[in-house]
Amino acid sequence: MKVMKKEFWIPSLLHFFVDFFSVYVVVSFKSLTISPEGLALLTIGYDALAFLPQPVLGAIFEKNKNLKYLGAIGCLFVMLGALIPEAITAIILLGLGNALFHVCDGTVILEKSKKAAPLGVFISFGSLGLGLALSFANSYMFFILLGLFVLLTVFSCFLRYEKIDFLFVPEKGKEKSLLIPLIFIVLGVFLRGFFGPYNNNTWTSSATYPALLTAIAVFIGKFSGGFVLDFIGGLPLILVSGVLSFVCVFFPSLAFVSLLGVVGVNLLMALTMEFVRRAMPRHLGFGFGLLAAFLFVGYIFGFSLKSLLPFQSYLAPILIVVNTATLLYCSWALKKEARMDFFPRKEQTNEHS
Amino acid sequence: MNTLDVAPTVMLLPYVFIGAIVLAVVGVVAGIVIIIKKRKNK
Repeated sequence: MKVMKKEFWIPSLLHFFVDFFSVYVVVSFKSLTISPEGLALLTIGYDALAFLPQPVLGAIFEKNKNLKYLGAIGCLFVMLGALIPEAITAIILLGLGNALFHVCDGTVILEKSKKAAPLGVFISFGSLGLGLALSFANSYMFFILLGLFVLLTVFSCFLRYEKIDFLFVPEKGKEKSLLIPLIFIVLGVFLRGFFGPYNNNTWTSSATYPALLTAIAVFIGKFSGGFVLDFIGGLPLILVSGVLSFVCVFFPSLAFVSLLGVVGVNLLMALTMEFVRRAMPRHLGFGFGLLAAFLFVGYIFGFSLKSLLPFQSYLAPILIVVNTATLLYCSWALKKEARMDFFPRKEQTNEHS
Repeated sequence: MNTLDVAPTVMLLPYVFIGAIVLAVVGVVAGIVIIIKKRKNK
């Protein structure tokens, strides 16, 4: 069976456009006559609106049969936000549109994907949009991409997910949400959010387009993480990612090694989504929202700590070890409950057609 | 570090962090309440 279908590629590409336009507009506020404090508040306001409502939106919409249309409405909000020249209205539209799109299309992917690869692919394209928006500003590019965004959004409304012969539903006796593993999964996501800003990467000061290079590394990690998980299984993936990110964190001046560490950390994205759908199989939208909300909290924590206190070089390696340990615990807890194996089996998913 | 040297935006960050945690927890609690209410309505 083909792992990646157009029903998974289209939301992934839409994710690229949603994140691109959201970040492009927020960055473009720099050209307006807004004070640095106002600009910072707008940026944080956008991020808060985009990430924090996701658990609530997930809980509200997860059982909805029209998720693809709701996702398209989210895209429409982002398009309007990208075109409206008033900053606060634009931020509200971009933030809420972004949140609605992520939860709705993320839930569809979690429900309809048999393998882990589409989970990683869906998440990965957002980082590419973000990197592009942070690195280039060009009105031709803006309007060409906006046209493609409109076309793809319309196309997404005609996707027929019911054609996919798979629906993620829990087996009997495995419907209950597992609270302790969930707490550890959320802690893992929090730590991954923290590593983003809390690093001492000195290579970025001499590199051309450091944001784009970092975004490409994030993209490679997230994109390949699901395929690697399907191929070698959860336990080896956690160990590979842990070793890679732990070793590379000690070379912040070497661009390639540092970026390899970024790839290592982001390999875990698909695994985290796979964990959450197995730990909370009846509430996929809420579970997806939980990950997004705490990724943002972790990011703000890392950013605050780095901005306010001198950088502590020992903190990131210690937290990478903690992150690896929490994910190893989750892997063990899910295996104990017979919800996921350490290594891939031919048919290990809780699939029901 | 002399706090007077720190830009006002940076000084706001701890409050932003606390605000983000509070809002995230509120979101989680609200989500759980919505799920429980939906289950009761079935």
